[in-house]
Order: sequence, then C-alpha cells, then structure tokens
Amino acid sequence: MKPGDEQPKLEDLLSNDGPSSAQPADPAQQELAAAVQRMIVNAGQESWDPSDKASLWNNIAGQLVPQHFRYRYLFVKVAAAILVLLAIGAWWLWPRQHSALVQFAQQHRPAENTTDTRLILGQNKSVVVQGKNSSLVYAGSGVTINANNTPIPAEEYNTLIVPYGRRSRVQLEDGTVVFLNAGSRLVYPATFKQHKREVYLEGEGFFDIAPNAAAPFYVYAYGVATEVLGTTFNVSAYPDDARQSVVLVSGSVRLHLQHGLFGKQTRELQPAEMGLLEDDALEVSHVNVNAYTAWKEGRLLNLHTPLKDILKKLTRYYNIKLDLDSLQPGLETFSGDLDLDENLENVLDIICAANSLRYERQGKGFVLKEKD
Amino acid sequence: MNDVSTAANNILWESIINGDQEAYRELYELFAEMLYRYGLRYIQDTATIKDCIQDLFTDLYHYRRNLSPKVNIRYYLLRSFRRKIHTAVKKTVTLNRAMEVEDFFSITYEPDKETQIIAAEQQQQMLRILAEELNALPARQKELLFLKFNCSLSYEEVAGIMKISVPTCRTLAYRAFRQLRTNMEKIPVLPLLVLLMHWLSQKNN
Repeated sequence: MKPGDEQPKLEDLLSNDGPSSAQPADPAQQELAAAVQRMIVNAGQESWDPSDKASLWNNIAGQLVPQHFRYRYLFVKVAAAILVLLAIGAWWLWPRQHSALVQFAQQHRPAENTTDTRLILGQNKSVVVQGKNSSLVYAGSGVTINANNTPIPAEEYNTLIVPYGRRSRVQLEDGTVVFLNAGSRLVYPATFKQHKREVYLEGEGFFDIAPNAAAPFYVYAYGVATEVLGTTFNVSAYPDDARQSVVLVSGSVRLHLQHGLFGKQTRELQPAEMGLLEDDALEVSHVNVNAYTAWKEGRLLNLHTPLKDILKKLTRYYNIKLDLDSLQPGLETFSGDLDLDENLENVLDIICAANSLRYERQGKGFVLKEKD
Repeated sequence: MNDVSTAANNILWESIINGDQEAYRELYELFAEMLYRYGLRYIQDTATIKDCIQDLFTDLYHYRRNLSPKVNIRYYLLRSFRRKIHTAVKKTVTLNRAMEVEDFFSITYEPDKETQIIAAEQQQQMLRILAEELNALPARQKELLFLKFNCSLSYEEVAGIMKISVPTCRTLAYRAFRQLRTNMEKIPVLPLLVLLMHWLSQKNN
C-alpha cells in the first residue's frame, strides 16, 4: 500500500450511496451496529492464565537489578570492536606479501658486481653469458644462450644480470621478448604459472608481451607494478634514478602504485603515454615513444634531455664513468639522435659540439667541461 | 483494560526511567496482557510470546537511561513489542517470497454470544455474515482494526507502529468498511455501515 493511493473522505463514502445523513435508521439497526462494534472489540481477547502471567513477572523481576555483567558484556563488545579494528589495521599495515617470485628476487640480490652478463639458475648456479649484446631463448625447460645448439636446463627461478656496458635480449618461455638495458636485473620463472605471468625488473627493459588473455603479465619494478594486457612497452626503473617510467608503445597496460602504507593507485595507459613516477607521484603525459625505446636498437634519441641524464645513460651503456663539470649543471640539454654503436669518444664529440663543451679524460672516465 | 491518563502516564514513565522496581511491576500489570494478546495474533507458541515480553521489559530496564522522557507508553510498548515478535516470527518460519511477516497477523471475528441470545433470527444471520466478511479482510486491515479498537490507539499511533503513513492508515481503515459494504449489497446493511462509519470517525485521534 502506497501513500499515494486514493484517500476517500468519510463524507465522500457516505454521500456516494443514498442516505447522506448519519441519522440512525431504526433501533434494530442501531443494535446491530453496536453488535458489530462489540464483535470487533471482543475479538482476540484470549485470557492468559494468571499464574502463568505471575510466573513470567517473577522471571522478569529477577533481571531488573543493576547488574554488572551488563558492563562486563559491554567490555567484551568494546574489546571485540578494538580487535576488529586492530585486525583491519594490521591487514592494511602489514607489508604486502608479494608473490613468491618477488620475494625470491628481493632475497637473492647479486652480491658482487659483475662485468659480464650472467645468468643465475636457481640460487647458486651461475653461467657467464658472453657478448655485449647477448641473447637467450627459453623453450621447454631449457635455455639456449647466444644461439648455441645445446640448451642448458633451467631452474624454477632464473635471474639475468646485465652489467653496465652490456645489453641482452631474452625470449621467455611464453614467447614474450624482453630487451634488457645496461645495469639491469630480470627475475623470471623458467615456465610461467597457468593464470599469471610474473617477472621482476630492476633497471630498464623493453617488453614485447606475447598475448594471452587467460594469463595477464605483471612486471614488478621499483615502485611500480605494470599489469599487461598484451602489448609492447618500456619500463625504466633503476633504483638509483629519482624517476621511474613506463612508456607504452602499443596495446594497454595498467600501472599499480603503492604510496606509503595506505595509498594504492591504479592507472591505465594509452599508447604513446608515459607514466612517470617521481617522489611517489604519478604523472601521465604524451611522449614520443621512440625516444624511450631507441636504446634497444643501440641508439639514444633525445629531445631537450638534460645533459646529466644523458651522461647517466651513457655511463650505463658504455660502463665508463662520465661527469659534468659545468657552471649550470642540469640546465644544459641536448637534442639529437646518438648512435651508440659508435665508440664513446665519437658520441661525446657530438654532444660537446652542440653544447660548446669539451671533454677530458679523468682516471678511467671522462669529464665534460665548459670551453675556455 | 485500565487506561492510563496522560498525567499518570508521565509519572509512571518517569519512574520507569529512574529504574523504580514498583513502576515496572505496575507497567507489567497494565500492559502485559495486551502484549500477550497482540503476540497471539502473530504466533501461537506462547513460550515465544513470553520470551518477547520478558526481553521487552529487561531491555527497557537496562536501556532506561536512553529512553526519551515523554512517550505514550502504550504506543511505545506495542511498537517495541511488534519488532520483537516480528523478529521471532522470522526465525521460526521460512518466509516465501510473496509473504511478509505482516501477513501472519490473524484474528477471528465471531458474533458475540450475548447478542445472539437476544437478537432476532434475521439479525443473527446478518451478524454471521458480517463476521465472515470481517474475517475475510486482509491481514493488514485486521491488524489496523485490532490496534485501533482493541488497543485504543489513534491513527497516528497505528501508522507509527505499522510503519505506514497516516493517510495510508486512514485509507486502509475506510477500505475495510467499504469492502464490507460492497460485499454485502444484497442485504440492507447500509444504515448499519453509516453507524459504523460514524463510530469510526468518532474514534479518530
């Protein structure tokens, strides 16, 4: 029954039919009306055995005394509420249990610096991978290094360490191809789980993910996890960089960020967008994707890139220390396409010519200075 | 049933809030039977009804500090009790989708014996038919009649207890009598209904 239903007034009801006055018709009718009234009023007047009623009162009276157990009960309630709050708090505050792969990656950091690219199978077995631009291909349960014909058996977890001055291309078991830039570490399983493909990255990598809708691909990197829905993109997450970036070339990816204890953020990227993570803040902008992926072809594309950032990349690429000794460090920028297959001196020549700088050898490295 | 005048009502309620044992006893004497009969409208198991009454009184005592100082006691008790009874009914029966707890309200109207002895045969016949018609009313209309005429509440209070608006409540009441009228067009009861309507409107508020 809704309030909007018709609400007939008493007068309406009465005037609808014949006699409009409320005058009693005859004594017999009056009597009958009284009988109906009694019928209504007398209905549902069951009697209650007085002794039963009295005994219920006795039960009630026994409870009508100030009882402290009520407060004890209250205490239990309060305690339960606090426990629930604590549990929720703990659930929030507890360090997120990462997947077994991430735990493995974080617990087994390479001890020594290596000058060779290394493949570490499981925890201990280390294999040197020769070549400045090495390649690994996983198939079945084995891995083929640099197109050698004899695959070596892989372990559950594999770590590929690419030092400064080296790069590597690894094709994972599912067909996904990862280009690893200098100074990077990639941890991945020999065979992926059925419903989730996960890898851990430190440094920079370009990913060409083999599409598989049933098993989303996750790249866990420093400060950002990238959920991949089948696509190509670049992740730059060097622990010693102030900024981490994910640049999407094609397809779509979803970034998962964790700010401090409570902040969780997810953001989907469109092609040609870059998610830049700096000081826990994510900024998304449109970029020229070539500038961020050219390194895998041995080139460095720059567009008003701060000189010190370029030197950092070159340091990683050539594994030679480069410093900038200038009056306004950070203000100089460089735009242009650098071919990194050239030797470093040729590259430095180009940079210095564009910025009125010169460079000189200092120990094992170089330092760039203003022209006198 | 003893009716408590407004002043007496307020004094009694004040003592209830103060936790006066005697006041609780008086409250029980005044209203327990009404609650018991109201409970019987919903559930035949008297143990459950008594549990609800006991709960109502002990709750009243333990939460007396939170009670509002000015209430119509009869209204307050019926409203709280109805909630408890509804909860109890929900626990004991599995409601199918079309049925709500309100639909469990049941009451049987019978021509009263006193009248039957003295009334003419034609009137007796008419009373039986009227009783049948009253019994055929929907549960909600019966509950309304019960609360209004057996528990002596105003339309506002009935509406508050049944959780419906006051206009809806009035509509429901008139509909009950109108239904009687339309179902009984064959026999000359119209003047009778005019009388009942008169009674109904006098009992308003």
